[in-house]
Amino acid sequence: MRVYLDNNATTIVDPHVFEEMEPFFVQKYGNPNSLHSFASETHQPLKDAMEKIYAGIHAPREDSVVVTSCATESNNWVLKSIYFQYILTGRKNHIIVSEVEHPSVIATAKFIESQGCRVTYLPINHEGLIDAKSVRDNITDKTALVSVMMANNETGGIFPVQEIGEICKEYNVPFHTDAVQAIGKIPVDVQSFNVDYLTFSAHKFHGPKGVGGLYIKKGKELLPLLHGGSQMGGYRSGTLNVAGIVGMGKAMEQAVDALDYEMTDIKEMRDRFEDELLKIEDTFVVTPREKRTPNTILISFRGIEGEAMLWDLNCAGIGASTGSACASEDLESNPVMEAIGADADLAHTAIRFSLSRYTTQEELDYTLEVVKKAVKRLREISSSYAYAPDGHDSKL
Amino acid sequence: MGMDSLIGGTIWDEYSQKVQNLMNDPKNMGEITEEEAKAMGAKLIVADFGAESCGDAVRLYWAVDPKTDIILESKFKSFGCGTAIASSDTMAELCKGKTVDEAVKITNIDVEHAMRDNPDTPAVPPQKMHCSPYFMPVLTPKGKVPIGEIRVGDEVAVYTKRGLENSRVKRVISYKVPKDYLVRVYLKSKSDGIPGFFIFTKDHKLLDNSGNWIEVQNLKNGDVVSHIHESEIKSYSQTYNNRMFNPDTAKKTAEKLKESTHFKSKKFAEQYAKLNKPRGTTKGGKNSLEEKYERYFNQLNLPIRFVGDGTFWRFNRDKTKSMNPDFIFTEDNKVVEVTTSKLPFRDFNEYKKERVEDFKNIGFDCFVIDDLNFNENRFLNWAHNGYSVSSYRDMDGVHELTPRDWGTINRNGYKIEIDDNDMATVYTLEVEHDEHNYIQNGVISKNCSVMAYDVIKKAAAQYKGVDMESFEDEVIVCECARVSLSTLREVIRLNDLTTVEQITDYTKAGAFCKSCIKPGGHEEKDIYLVDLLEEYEKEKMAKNADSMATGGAVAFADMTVVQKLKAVDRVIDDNVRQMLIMDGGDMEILDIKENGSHIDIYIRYLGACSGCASSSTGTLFAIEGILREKLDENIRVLPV
Repeated sequence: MRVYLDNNATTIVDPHVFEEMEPFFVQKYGNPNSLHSFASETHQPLKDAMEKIYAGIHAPREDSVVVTSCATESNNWVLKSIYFQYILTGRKNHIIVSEVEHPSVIATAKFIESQGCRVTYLPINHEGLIDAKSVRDNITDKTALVSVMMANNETGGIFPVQEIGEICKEYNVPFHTDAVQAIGKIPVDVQSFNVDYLTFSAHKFHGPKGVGGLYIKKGKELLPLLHGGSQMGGYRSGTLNVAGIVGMGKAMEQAVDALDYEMTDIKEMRDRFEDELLKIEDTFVVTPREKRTPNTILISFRGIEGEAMLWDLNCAGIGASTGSACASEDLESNPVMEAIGADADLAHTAIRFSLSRYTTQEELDYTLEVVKKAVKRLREISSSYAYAPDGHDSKL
Repeated sequence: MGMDSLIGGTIWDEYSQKVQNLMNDPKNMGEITEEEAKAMGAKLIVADFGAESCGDAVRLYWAVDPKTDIILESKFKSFGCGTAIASSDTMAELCKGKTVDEAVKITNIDVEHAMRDNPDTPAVPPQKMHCSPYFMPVLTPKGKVPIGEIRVGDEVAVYTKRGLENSRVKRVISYKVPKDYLVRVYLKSKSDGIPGFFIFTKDHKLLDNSGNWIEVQNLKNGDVVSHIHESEIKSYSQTYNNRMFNPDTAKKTAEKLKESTHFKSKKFAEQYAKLNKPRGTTKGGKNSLEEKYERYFNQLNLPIRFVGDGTFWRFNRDKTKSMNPDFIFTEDNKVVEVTTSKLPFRDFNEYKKERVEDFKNIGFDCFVIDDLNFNENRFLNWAHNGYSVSSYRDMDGVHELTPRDWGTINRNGYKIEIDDNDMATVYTLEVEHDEHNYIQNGVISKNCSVMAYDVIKKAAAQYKGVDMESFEDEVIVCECARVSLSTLREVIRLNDLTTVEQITDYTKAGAFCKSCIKPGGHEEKDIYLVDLLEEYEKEKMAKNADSMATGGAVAFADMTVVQKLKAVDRVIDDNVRQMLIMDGGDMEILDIKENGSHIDIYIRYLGACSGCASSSTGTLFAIEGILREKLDENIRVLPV
């Protein structure tokens, strides 16, 4: 049995999405910018897709949702454009990001910092969450941007984006949120959140890889990151990824439709699974359940190193993820466990299970059995539970 | 860059089948209890290495026969990834049946070799090989402890403007940072001249010479900061029992001396009178105090020499007084006077003031050491002028971590490891102290790895009741094959090796990860194989030069080109040139080349000689003959 529980890394492409995309490879392959019917036959499907994408995040028609190649591009775009528009021109000198942002935000912030901008990295609290108050404490009239993710990839923790949005509005500071882990898991509404920029990526909600988007509020226009043939209204040049856009549109539509299911059935399944996991001795979960996306569990098994656990899970056909960089190929290695500053001994023991609407109860039952066996086996090996004679000092 | 680095693979693909099998089913996993060991008539040894918080930990159990030192049974428990578990298992297997002394010789490369499926394919990816993940050490009253092993409530040392002080840990925080949050700083100390490198977070603060805390990222080459010196640590930590200067003992001795009749005796009075001769010269060598401090200075490798026997004199400005200090620094205008405040016939404070003033007048900074009240910290700070930030090789004194810094770096027996793929982990200790709230800087990255050598060493140290460091008195140049500096030097010298390949043939050094060959590999080293070759080359050269300078004979073939040229010129000057000049000609040497077994010397005739018929016959043979006779019989002289 193969079980995929790493849906925060990427998801299976929904067969309906794939079906929708298929005609645009061999049959309708025209470049939408050309002047002939090969081109024009792609226009309606593209428009339909854009409608769905706009609807998915409740974006008003006068605002822009620009299709990009991925969330990394979207995040880079916002930060670098803000740098060119505000920092480089000397109008502002400061941006605020959370310390547990995705590397595409953190690394870009670091780059901007190296160019002379002051960057505040908001710390997370003991629950792995950001305090909206900390934004208020750090925001100044020289702040050019606040960027805080909507939901964390590692813990699933939902950050108080609405409150932060209000603070930013109050100070008239542009607000960007990386909603990659939120779409299809919790309701995303750019209007009620007061966000100016919002990033998303199709492959996190059963769409294809290689296509993402950036919502840009009217009046908060950015400089283009990619100059060229003026596609996407000149915002992002580059031949349109027709199949990708169509796929993302369908995926967005389905994600929104499935939101109820996600927030009830999947959440229940997740909660039951988590309850069972927590019955295993010496297991810990940091972020409270109600403050998490409904599909994510980040759990620590004391005495078991993350990669060893992944190994045992993988042997049983189960794909999960670790917060540990030991599995260095893990692209999602966001150091939340460390940032929480919980118990240092637990820093390397975190395992992330992330469910999707394709996850079945049967799969979770199977996984639970495998986890129990793995915990038993690895704790037998583990030095953390090993015998030591009286008076043994491990530091000697 | 390149195709292979564009799409990453998984490290699991690089595990050998044996590693995978051992990971799934380790054979020697388990424990040995006190009772089981007793039943075998053996002594139980339990040694731990690593820590969970760093990602790898292993506990090794040995049942050792106390009569034969043979390890009867060996088992392990391990927290860590596949490599850690598989390699611990292999290590436990390899220990069985060996004596403790034999076991200490097991290297990580032995373990890795034992896990290979076929002899030519490594069992684990190189970055997992011999990097026992480790932490920066934190100084505690018990000695240096890896920061990852510090727990809430532990006592640790805090470096303050006043020196080292105790504080208690309130909270241990660890978090990961991008590698560019770290900088590497080379601090060159006066005492040993060797740049010590330290990895700091950018905001780590060091004390500068004017008593201000300055962030390391703001340091520049040439800046001077103060930093804990090894000997300060020695006097701080109770584990160091080789303290030379214990204030309590000194006080007691002083009390004892006061009561002692000896002190008032004539013999002592004479001895001290000698010490206080008007011009401060110790005729005929050093007194016991000077000897004691000379030993101490040598121990610290201070660039200081004894001149108290009258080998160094300076007049003061008005030439009314000539001064001879006990010790002088070779590079600085600094002198040291050694004395003791217990001398009955001298007011110490006045003497001190006077000496310092006198030396100041002639441009010297003087430190008067009072043997009874020796303030080591003050002396060291004075002696070192702190530490200066200096560049090392082609790197700036303070620079962000580069790929060259990733990998394992050994320092004082501790290892810091930063891997290409990892983010670094910073440990912060929140402490109870009025000057500092935090101790920061336990920098590690986690990397599952082969930890065999370290834990075996720990176990062996326990069994033998010695310090773990005693196995580490050698500087290891090649970590993979554990080849020491002294071995390499000896092998190179004995066999007259000139290439890295030869060294590898003889010693296996440089065969596996190749980091030790030259800078730029997976690890940064203090010394590389190429350095050793260069060192030997220079040594040979210096020896030849010395030998020639003292009139000794050096084979012509062993000379450097310059030496050869000089030698040839000398022979020609002495024997040939005179004759040529008398005939209105001359000659010059153009080049010397080794040509198979011959040494070809290219010459050109000048003046009258250039047209002379015998220049290519008789004269040429004469020159060649003389050179062959005086220098080397393989010489050929070729006129151009």
